[in-house]
Amino acid sequence: MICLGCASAPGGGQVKVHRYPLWFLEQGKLGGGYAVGYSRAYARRDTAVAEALRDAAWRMARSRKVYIEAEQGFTEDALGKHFQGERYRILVDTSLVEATARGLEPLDVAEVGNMLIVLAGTEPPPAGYEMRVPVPSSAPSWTTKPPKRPGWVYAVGVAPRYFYLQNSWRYAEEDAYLELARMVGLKVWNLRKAREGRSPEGVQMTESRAVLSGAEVVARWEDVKKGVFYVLVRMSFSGGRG
Amino acid sequence: MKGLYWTAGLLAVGFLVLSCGGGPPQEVGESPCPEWFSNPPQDPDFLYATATAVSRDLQLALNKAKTEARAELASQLEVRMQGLRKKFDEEVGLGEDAQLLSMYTQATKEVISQVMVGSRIVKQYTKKEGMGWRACVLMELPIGAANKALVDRIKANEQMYTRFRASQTFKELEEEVKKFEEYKKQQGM
Repeated sequence: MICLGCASAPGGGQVKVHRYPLWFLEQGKLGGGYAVGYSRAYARRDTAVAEALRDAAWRMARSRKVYIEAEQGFTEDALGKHFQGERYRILVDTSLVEATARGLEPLDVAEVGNMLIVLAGTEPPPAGYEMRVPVPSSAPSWTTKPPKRPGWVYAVGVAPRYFYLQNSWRYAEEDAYLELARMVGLKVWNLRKAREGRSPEGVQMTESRAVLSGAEVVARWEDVKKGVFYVLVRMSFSGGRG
Repeated sequence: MKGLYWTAGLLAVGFLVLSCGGGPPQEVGESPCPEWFSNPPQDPDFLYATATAVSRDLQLALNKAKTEARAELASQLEVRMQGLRKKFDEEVGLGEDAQLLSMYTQATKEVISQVMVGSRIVKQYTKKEGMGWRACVLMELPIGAANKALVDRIKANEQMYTRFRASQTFKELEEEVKKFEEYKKQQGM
């Protein structure tokens, strides 16, 4: 049996190559004033659209200003580095979310797998961006080499494939925002002890606290074969826009 | 008939043995990361560090590698600062004793505590390795003038927040919250 539009997954099974709206894959090209919101594709479509619209309002508020606090801890011994856990908070002004939600309209709605996504904004997107396209099979260069542009900082977030597609994209986005916060300011504590005849031991801890203003999603890509989701975000630090 | 069974059995075993160890042969000592991993760039305006890590979870593999690279950058910064301090010590004439002491300490214990602004991934690479993932990263930290714009921006943010904390509006908010908390206590809320 041949599955058209499928790719082989890491486990050997077949995974469907989804068709996404262009505004989802290349959100950064739309310019400001747009937000993408996620939801599960519930049986009742209006419920899913309403949830995705609220999510879009939260993401739009987050791109205006967000406070991020993140910590990670590692230990090290003869067997290597071990993750000891992390905690983080992403705080957005909730009153701003309410106010933003009131002015947003669902400009386009797409069901991709078990996920529903909404493009929200006040004006229709530029022509051609509502087109549904399959994810490019070759990796965009930013997945391995984040762009470098004067006045901007870029970060890439990744996430594995989860059962609910929107979770993969949400976590990848979150990962990118956390990375952006680490770029803005990071405190590193590192203790390494090495005694003669014994393998080195160590403890590492990182902590970041940052206020990100104007951080936005630029692009998304799904590596269908490996089951990895990538999101590219950027933030201007010179007051300019793309 | 018995001979035929033996031949078939031997053929089956031979086939099984031959089908083991498939896939391209791995060269001994081959680096699991791309070429840039062993040859990081040289630039006087940047510090560079590479790191690699493995985990069953892709995000974790990347996190480990990034943290390792950042710790390495922090270590480079610390060494750079120690270098500066050494120069200063020599200038003020504290010289040899201090230097010897710091070398001895480094050999047994390395402690780093650094705040870094602007550390970013230049290149990253991930690949499946057995049941898990390997991540390789090249991280850079702009130093000196290259980092000024970002540092200025962050300082501006901090100043804005400090101004807000010092403002009348914030004090008013604090007082109102205090009153409200007292009211709640009185009401047994």
